Amino acid sequence: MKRRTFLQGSLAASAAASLPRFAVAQPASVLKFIPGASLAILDPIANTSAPTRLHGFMVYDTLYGLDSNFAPQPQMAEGHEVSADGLDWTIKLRDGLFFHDGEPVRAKDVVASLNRWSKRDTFGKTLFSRTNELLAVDDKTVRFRLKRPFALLPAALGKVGSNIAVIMPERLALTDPSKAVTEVIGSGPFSFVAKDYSPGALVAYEKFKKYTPRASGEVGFSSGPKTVHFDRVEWHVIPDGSTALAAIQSGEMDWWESPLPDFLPIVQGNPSMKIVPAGGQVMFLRLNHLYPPFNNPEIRRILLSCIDRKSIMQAVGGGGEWRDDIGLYLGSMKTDAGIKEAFRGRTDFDNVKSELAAAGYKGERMVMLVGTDTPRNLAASQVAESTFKKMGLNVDFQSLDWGTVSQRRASMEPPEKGGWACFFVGADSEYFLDPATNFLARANGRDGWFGWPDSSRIEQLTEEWFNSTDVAAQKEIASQIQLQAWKDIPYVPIGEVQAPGLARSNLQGFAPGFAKFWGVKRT
Amino acid sequence: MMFYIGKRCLSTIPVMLIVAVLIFGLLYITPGDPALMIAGDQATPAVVERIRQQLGLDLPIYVRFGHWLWDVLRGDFGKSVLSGAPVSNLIAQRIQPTVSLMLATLVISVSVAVPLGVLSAWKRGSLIDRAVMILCVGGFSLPVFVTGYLLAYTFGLQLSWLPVQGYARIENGVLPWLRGIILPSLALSLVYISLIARITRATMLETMSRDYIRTARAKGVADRSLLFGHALKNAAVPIVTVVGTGVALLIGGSVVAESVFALPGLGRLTIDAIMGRDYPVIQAVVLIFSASYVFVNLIVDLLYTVFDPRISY
Amino acid sequence: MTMTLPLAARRTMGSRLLRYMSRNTLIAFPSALLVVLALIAIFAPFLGTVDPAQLNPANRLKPPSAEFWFGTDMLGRDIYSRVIYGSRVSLIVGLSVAFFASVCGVIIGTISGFVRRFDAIIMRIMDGMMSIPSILLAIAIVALIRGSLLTVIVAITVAEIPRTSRLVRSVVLSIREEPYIDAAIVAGASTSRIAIRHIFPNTVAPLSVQATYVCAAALIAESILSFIGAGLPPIIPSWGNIIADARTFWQIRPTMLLFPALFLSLCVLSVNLLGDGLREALDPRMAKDL
Repeated sequence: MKRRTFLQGSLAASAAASLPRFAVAQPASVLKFIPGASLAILDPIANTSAPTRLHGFMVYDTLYGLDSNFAPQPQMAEGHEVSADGLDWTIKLRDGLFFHDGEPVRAKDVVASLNRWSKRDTFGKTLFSRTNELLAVDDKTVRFRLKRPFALLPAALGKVGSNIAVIMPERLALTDPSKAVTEVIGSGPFSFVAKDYSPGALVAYEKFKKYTPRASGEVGFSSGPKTVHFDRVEWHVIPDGSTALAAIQSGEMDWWESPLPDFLPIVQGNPSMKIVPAGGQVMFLRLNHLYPPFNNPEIRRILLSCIDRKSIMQAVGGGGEWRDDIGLYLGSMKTDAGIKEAFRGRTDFDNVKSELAAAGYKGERMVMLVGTDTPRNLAASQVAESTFKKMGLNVDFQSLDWGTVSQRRASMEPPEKGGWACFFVGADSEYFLDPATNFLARANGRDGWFGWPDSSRIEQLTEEWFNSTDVAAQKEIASQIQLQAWKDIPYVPIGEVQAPGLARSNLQGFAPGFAKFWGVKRT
Repeated sequence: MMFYIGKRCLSTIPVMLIVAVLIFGLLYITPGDPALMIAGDQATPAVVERIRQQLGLDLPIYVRFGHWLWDVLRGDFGKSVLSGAPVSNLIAQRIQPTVSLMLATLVISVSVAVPLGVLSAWKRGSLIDRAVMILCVGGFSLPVFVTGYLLAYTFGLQLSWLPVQGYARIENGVLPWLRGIILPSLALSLVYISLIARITRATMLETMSRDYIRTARAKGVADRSLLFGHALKNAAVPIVTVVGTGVALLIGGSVVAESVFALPGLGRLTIDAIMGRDYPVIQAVVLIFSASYVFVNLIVDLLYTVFDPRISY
Repeated sequence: MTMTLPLAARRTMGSRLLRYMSRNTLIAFPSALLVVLALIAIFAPFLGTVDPAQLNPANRLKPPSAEFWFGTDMLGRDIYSRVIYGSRVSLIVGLSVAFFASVCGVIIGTISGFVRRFDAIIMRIMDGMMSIPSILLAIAIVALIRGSLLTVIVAITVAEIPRTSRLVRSVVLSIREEPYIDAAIVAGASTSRIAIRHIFPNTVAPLSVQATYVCAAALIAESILSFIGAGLPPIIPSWGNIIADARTFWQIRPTMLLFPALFLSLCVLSVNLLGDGLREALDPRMAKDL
């Protein structure tokens, strides 16, 4: 009874809000979406998981967004002014910004939110390490006073990979950055319906009536007008792949974020469904640089020369679209430097064995963490395992669930005390645009991401890249980082797989990239 | 009689206490640190230690068990490690689909299985009897999820009679609720039907061979009234017993059926919690499932007196 | 299900069984099928199989053909070889659980039935264990400890122990009242001697019936564990694992699910029928009814 009356109430409200002569008796329009994973944490600053980021983009807004070429465009910002020396950035907020609790968005909310973000995000840390001061000039203006010029400032504030620089009310933004905010108040196009939230089963959002989309521009990756055509969006968690497929086939659900690529041929023969273009996903292998065998750079290099990227991608990408020739970067900094020489797909395993022995491999156990509940990671791990075995590596394939993998990978202990040697994981392609977004290519030791690669050369080059203002010079530095990465191997890029969604064919207006619920309408 | 009922009710207390000890002990001996889980990706050891203290994980096991038991007795199951929501809220959200599923399964099973079993016993040795018995053994032999997929594919996708997945809450309309619950209950019923039909047949055969039935038959009481009036009434006790003990089977099956049909029930909550090492949720849900088993079997025991007046205490 | 079965005299059990089998297809058929499955499991390497773990992603999701009799799975592994080798793993799981659950049942049930002091506490613990739905208990044990052949067997066994223990206890309690036990006690036989010489042989018949049901339940439980994702490591081919792999793809490649499900169902069916047959053979009163 509750939900129905509630819906009728909200319908009445929406009818009242619009002009009376347009008020037609129509049921509240609901978009039913099947997310790729269940939403557990509601705070995109405290958590970096894919569903949390998606949730973040619905409920919150960012000062800048990226257009379809990944160039930053003002989103909540009206625009910015940079002083002649490049040290003072003045950003003005556009008119008509409100939080879901009805309060207007003020500059001090922005300051508090960005401060909190900078405590968690790598790019944010870089920005704030160059910032003397961030202050609210007046209610609608914030100013960055930098120590040195940083042209990437809008790119940082508009980054689309986690953690995204979301703006929340100051009272919430003052929360400890390592603690998740539980009250969800943003200024995004959707408000979160807390009373309907059932973790692991259902997440519900309502169109935020007071949201003013940008007046002009196109819907980009995260920029442009966020016009909402549904009264309500529901995420229904369906853990079973074939049930999710059946739900789309029968029309009970509208849109599925992450079907298996192998399902796509079914769609091509069915006029009631369509494929939704989405972003790619990069599969990679992360190595633990702290303990044998992969604390030995020579062993890492031999692994790189043997890994069979094609077979792994065949298993991961299946009948879909994929490629196995990627380097570190996929965006404007993309380079082929050293890829062919590094990934040779060797099969002369007898030589490999003697080389491994010469490099000092003594048959140390190589603990491979495998989340068997994530099909891609499982497939990649199984294919790679067969290569590792042929190489003579002593693989300990540990079948775990992904939750345990994310717990275990944090362990800096040696293998015999619960530590690990390697694991596979995938991340959206927008994390791999350039040295600013690709935190996996960083090598800042124990401060860095799991695996803790330590290479002063890579760090030094990355610093140079951040300081460079010329695109050609940046490209040169990026290719140097890549060449260095094939020596130090912070991670092993395997390939990129296109991860399209699946939807009923009466839905239109999809934009590329992560699932965006604005612009989409039912015809 | 009242004394017996009271005694029987009291006897559930030590059983539940043992269940509580078992659940708590099982989670205690398993590896995996909930504090690490909560702390997340980039936590420092100091943060983890602080969380551990907040959760009371640094206290001795018996103290923690005491605290937990005291909280549970007051109806406080703590907070979910994964989502931070109070466990009692999670359970309240999830209980309706599971209860619906179980009740529907029970209704379908009993209403199909008892006539089948009676029929089988009545036509003992006939082709019908054989067919029913083979069917019953077959019902045990198919995993619930295979039955579930087949049903969803046939009646959901191909014939479009019923939804292939999902749950419609009963307060939003009885018909949608019923439509949503039919396929999962059918999938789940198969095992239960087998179980009940077999026991019905066996006990019917046993009672029918008893003297008083023979006497009734000799007196010329019609076969049908004999079957349903005398024999079935006497067969009720073992049938009810099987229904009671079968609840455990039903709970296990509902975990699978809820996954196949995407029902947001307690079974899926349990699986998610187990996979995510969400200890407070695991403890609470397993405790609730066990309590319902104990409760159902308590009712069954008390029902004996209703069905079989010869049993008096 | 625990059902107290009237006991057949020990000496006639074997002969009765043989007579029964020759007379009754209900027991001959499943026995024959199980023998075939056992032979398949034993001689798996000689049945035209390849290494069940050998993968080739270029050949993934192929339909049945002359090269791949049952087709290939999502990693390009030969499903025929996996199903054939899978019968090894699945039978090992089924038989081990049946065996260990029976052994534990005999030990716990005998102690409980014989030693009054422990009876109440043991039975309360068994009641407690029985109240936790067995599949949940098994899932929790496997998921929390980490899947391996041993953990899966232990997890399912633990969940079955209360049933076998209660059965044995009820047999022990009924035998205890027999006059010849009194006679043995009077004659000064030790408790352990009585248990081994007189009690244990009487539990064999009902326990072997129960063991077949436990075996069938274990096979189904293994498949459910794999379905939930808390089963054997994906490298080990078991019927449950192959079915779990196949379920996502079953609309695209139904044969991937069909073959392992067929083997599993036939095996469970046979074991259940065998159980029924044994029960009727060993229980003259039930047999008369048939």
